[in-house]
Amino acid sequence: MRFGEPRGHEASARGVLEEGAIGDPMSPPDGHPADDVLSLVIDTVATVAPTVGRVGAESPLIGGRAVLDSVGLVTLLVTLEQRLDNAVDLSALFMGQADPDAPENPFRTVASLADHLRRSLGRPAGS
Amino acid sequence: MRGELEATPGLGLSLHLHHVGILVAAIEPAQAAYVRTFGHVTCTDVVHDPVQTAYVQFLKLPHDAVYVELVSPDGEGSKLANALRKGGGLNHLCYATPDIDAACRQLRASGLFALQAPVPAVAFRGRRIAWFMGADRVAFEVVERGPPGEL
Repeated sequence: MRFGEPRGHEASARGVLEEGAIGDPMSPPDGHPADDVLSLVIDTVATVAPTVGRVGAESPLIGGRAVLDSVGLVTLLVTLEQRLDNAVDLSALFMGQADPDAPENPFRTVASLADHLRRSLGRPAGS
Repeated sequence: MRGELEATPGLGLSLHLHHVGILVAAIEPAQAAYVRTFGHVTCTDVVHDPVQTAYVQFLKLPHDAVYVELVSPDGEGSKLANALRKGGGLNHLCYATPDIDAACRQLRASGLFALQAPVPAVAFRGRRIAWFMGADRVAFEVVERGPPGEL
């Protein structure tokens, strides 16, 4: 186990986004859209904050109605980095956010974070 | 994207534990309690750090090398206000390093999430500090090592 990795981390970082690993368009997981990046974010929110209840694409990640507190948001981001085998650098993005309320902030919602990850991974929309 | 460093345990960082941060509502009563209960000596005045949006004070046991840092939010808008609303208490571990830039690169390569790049800190007379967090939710501070006899 790598330093800082959560105990009971059930998802393999390598291959988590391989075809069919999450979000097979033919058989979406319960309540998750057929979008593997979006499903990964939703699944990771549920893993790091199991008590938040139902999480969807429009669930806010920052601000007064956020489903996570600030520590929870960082835990989500570091866990996503690990699940994506460190293929994206969310830390640099996090430190570069001068205005957390800006409409272009990728941490605004689950969907905006998924969009950012998709672009960073070079994956087409809806994948 | 994270440089060429491999995550090698403790790779030449020469870290040592500098202090344990304790988040409190107010410095003075906490300082008095640590002095009375454990026999800590007070090593610094209460210092306001506008970057960290906090008041801080350092204590130490007379024959110990590790400090206790009492940290208190400087107002409702402090970055620490939310954590205090949840109860405060043990807040972070801080490691001193002779090369904070190398330490930050290595800690990042080891999987820690960088929260704040190195910035000067009032409490350390302008020596830089940086912040990290792991997926286990433990916050880590790194500080540039000071000259002998200095905090």
